[in-house]
Amino acid sequence: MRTRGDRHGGRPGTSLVEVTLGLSVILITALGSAYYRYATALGVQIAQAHVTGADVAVTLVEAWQGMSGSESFAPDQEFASYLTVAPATGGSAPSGYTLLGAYDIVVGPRTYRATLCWKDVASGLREIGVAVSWPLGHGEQLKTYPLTAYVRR
Amino acid sequence: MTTRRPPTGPPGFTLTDTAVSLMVGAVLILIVSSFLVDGQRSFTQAYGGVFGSPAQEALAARAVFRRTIRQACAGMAAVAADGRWIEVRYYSSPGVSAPDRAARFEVSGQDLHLRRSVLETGQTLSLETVCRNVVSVQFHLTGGSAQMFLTLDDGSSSQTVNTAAAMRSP
Repeated sequence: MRTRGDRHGGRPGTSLVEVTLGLSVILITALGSAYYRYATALGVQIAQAHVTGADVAVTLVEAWQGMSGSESFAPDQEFASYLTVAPATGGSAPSGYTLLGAYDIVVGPRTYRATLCWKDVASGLREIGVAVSWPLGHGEQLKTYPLTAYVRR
Repeated sequence: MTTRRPPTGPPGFTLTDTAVSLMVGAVLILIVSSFLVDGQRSFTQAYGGVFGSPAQEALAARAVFRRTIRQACAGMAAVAADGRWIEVRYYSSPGVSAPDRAARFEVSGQDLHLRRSVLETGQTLSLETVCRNVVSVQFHLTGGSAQMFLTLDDGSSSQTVNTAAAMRSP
């Protein structure tokens, strides 16, 4: 009977190609698993940030709606007992709208920038808008969630 | 010039070969296992964050709170001094001339309840458990709108709900 070692003329065992292939399979499995873990955790973080951003926008726009779109609405005073809200600088309103203010709202590990603006679209009808944005990762890129409502005055 | 000496013993692995390969195999298995376990843990966490009890209850709490508050009459709501409950009034049907029903969100233990009752007699019409695993809840009124700041935690995952709704009825 011929053995493998005899055929190759050396000592029996696995060849370099076999070892390399085996290691490659293990490496690909490990890398795939690592990517799966990373993508899952990242996806959950993005989704949670989005839900929280939408919550912040709804909270602000509905509360402002409850005050009939008043220009005296101040989230930093109104929600001081429940949320960490501070006035921010640098907010801007779209053309034709009046800026009410910009606020930094801290929920969990993230800070959300809320920009509030309004416009009287008809007699006795005001459009109020809130745009909540937050950073995606550690870069400059922002995700924005805009929300608009109308109130009778 | 040196020549390789052919093996003198029977063909097979030496003890050193076996020990080294076992060690390398064990290290690789440990590395891959840790990746797989972490991946599974991340997936479980993600699944809990989306389909877990607090996530589902947070969705329900948002929907029930908004629907109830939007149905309510502005200017007829009351909230506890410590923010632990809120009560609003609403019309039972379009034909009624004045609000004749009350809806009250209140915490009992770790459950958030919604109690609907007849305004005049105080008779309870329904008592609904909106969500469980409540860690903290605060209600607040701003003009004609109400806000709810709710935290849920079942020990494995937690959810925070900050929501508001304006009262639509006159």
